[in-house]
Amino acid sequence: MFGRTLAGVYDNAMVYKDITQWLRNRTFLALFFGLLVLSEAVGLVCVSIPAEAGEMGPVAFGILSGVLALFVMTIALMGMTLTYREFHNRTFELYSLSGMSLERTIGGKSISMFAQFLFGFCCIVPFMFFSFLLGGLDFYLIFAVALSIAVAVPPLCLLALCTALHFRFKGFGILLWVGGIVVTILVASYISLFFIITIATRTSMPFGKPLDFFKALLDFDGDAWNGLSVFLLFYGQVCLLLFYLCCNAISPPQDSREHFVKFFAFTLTATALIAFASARLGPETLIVGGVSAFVMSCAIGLCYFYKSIEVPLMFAKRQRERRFFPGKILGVLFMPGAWGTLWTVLLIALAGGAFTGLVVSLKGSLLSDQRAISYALLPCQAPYFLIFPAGFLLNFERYRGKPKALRNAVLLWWVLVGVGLVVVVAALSDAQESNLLGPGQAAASSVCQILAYVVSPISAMAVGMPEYVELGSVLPWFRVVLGGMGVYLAIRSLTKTAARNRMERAKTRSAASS
Amino acid sequence: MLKVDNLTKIFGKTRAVDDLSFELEEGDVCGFIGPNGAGKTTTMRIIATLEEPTDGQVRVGGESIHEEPYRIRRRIGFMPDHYGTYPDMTCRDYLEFYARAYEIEPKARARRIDGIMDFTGLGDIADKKVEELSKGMRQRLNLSRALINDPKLMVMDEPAAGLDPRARVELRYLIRNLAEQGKTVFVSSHILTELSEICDHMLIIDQGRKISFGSVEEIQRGLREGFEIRVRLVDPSQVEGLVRFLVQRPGIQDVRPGENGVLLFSLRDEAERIPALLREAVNEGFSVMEFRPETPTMEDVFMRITGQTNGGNNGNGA
Ligand SMILES: Nc1ncnc2c1ncn2[C@@H]1O[C@H](COP(=O)(O)OP(=O)(O)OP(=O)(O)O)[C@@H](O)[C@H]1O
Ligand SMILES: [Mg+2]
Repeated sequence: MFGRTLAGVYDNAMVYKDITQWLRNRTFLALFFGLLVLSEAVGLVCVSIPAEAGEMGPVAFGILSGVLALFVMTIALMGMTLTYREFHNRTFELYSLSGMSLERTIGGKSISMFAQFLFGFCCIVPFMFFSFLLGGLDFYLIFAVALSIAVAVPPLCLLALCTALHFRFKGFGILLWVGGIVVTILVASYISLFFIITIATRTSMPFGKPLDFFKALLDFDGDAWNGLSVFLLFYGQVCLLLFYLCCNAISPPQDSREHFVKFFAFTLTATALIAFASARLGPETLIVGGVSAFVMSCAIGLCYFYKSIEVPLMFAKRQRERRFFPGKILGVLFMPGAWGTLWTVLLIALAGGAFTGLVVSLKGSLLSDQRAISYALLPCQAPYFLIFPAGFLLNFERYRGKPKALRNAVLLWWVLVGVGLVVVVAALSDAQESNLLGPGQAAASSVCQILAYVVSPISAMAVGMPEYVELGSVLPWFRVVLGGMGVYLAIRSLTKTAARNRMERAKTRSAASS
Repeated sequence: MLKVDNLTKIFGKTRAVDDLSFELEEGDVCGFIGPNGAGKTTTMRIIATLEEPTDGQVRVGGESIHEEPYRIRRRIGFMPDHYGTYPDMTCRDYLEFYARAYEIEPKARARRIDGIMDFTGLGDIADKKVEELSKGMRQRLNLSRALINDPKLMVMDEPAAGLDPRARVELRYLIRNLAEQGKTVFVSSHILTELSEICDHMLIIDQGRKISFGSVEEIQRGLREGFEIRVRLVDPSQVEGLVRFLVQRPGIQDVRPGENGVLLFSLRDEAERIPALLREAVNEGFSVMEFRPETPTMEDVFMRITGQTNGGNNGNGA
């Protein structure tokens, strides 16, 4: 049974290729044997040094877990470099010509990376348990560390693939992505631990440290298992999101996996909101939840709004063949292209709004009504921030018909103008506090604050709503309406242009043939 | 087998392929000729479903690239003008990988791979690393890969580029062999003569537009219709008079006076006209020193045709 499964996995062309390449790569073999020898050496040295019982165990264990972490990083890096070269040398194109499905390709790549990891894992973990014999170590700790590293590997591999497929780097840019990945992993693990612990601490049983959490798990503690299931829910969705991001990156122009990306981005946000709402937190829950929905809709909009209006043909065909409820509806809501992006952004906004309503009604009025409303409206303002700079930039010839350039310019606008305004507002309000401003400058300060609130999502989030300005209560509504209208108009005009172009082409063709 | 209708591809402001239509039957070998940047690679990539056309339709075995790209991929063998990267893989691994990718039955794989390696002459270097191969060997490997799914249509983008004369001869032999197996072959090159021997059809394009398409005989007849005649006069001052004399005669085109009493023109007529024309010119009192008809090589004609389309464009634009 096991053998058959293994054979089936190995029959995946991508797994076959990556594993063969890896086995034939001499540097890797050297690394592998180096690892074995190193682990053994660490064990031997620790045994031979005369020390008090229990002193050397933690040292050996520390070194071994460091080596394992390093090994994981090496695998991710090697997988990333290989994929990067394949993708940018158009080798992937040749793979896809074989008709191998996108999921099979990416699945094969991730499985082969995980298999490589297991190889090293099996080398090192026995030595870890060996260090337990040296004393001074908690058995659970070894278990916990080995398990957490193993759990961190799949998302790490997928993240490595995702980076390789989405970005182009030259020279020392490699350092940037390694740094970026390490930071992301740290942040992600921090957030997931935060979730487990918050969810688990809902009851009286506190899990101070991850280790306690593992022990509670092994004691079949209900809350701990609850926490674990919440963690797994997130974990699965993050993995799937990364997986489909990779699939989408290598999809041919006729096809797309954008709908899966949007779908999982949505469910992830919704799950996060539910977790936030049920966690035992103060009024800041509202802010964290609203802001995360807002950030997610801005990110989705930035990635997928400035794109061709047309739906990829293969997707349209599959959609036509879908007959029944979930597939058909989900296909429309998360459809590739600008319209689907709009629906997705609105869905996330709705979820954010519903969340705020839920929190406010469950926990009593934590905030003034006006602030609660403004937080509820925050996610709904993403369309405004997507369309406003784009509408401005489209006045320039160089952005017309160039969605990629437009998107980059919008991102740049958000960051540059946003950060600039945050700095200006901060400086002005400092000066205001020390009474250095005349009346005219105070007015300038409020203008800047309004600008900051209106121009870029970054400054809007950082500066917050200008409460003392009369406009404060109107602005959010204003932006919601303006954003919705702008998006609608933009998409309609784009759709019309596309249809007109098609008509014109058909006309010239029939004129040419007659 | 392959039907291309009004194919157009626009990159930004470049019309890489412009309203291209043609059709190939099963077993045809069609040469696809055009200068650099003519749009050959783009056309082939569209046929291979790697690129989406701006407009137009392509059908492979009756199926549209718009509707069944994945089905088409399994039916064609595409040999691109690049190889990709395959660090740490031997030729056999490489083919083994693609055999799995095409989901060839495990039992049939080894036999298929051996057969293809025999056919392309890779048997001796099966265990050599892909990245260490010479250009010609890589091209063979590339061809082997394209053949692994036993495609009905082969699309080959400049397979002869970078090969030495001997390898070119072998390549031609391989292509002929493929045609004998009943495969349709669509092969590009920017050298016309390279393909004229092995192809039964030719498609010539320039700047994305079709210049001519037909069987090789048709094209050669079309291209070689008439003669290029070179005249040389003893007295260069008589050239203008000769020009005036020639343009009045029927069947004479393209009169081009040159230096030192040399004059070139083309004659669209039977060979018997040539001595008659010479006699007339001498009778008119022109001091003809040299009167030499030349059949243009296909290369010459190709140069002239593509040159003309350039001129034509400028003319339209002005
Ligand atoms: N991805 C692309 N983006 C923009 N322009 C492109 C792209 N691919 C091709 N072109 C343009 O399309 C035109 C046709 O290119 P193509 O590669 O098809 O020519 P070709 O006939 O294969 O030339 P060669 O003989 O040099 O290989 C060229 O002007 C080229 O610059
Ligand atoms: Mg080319």
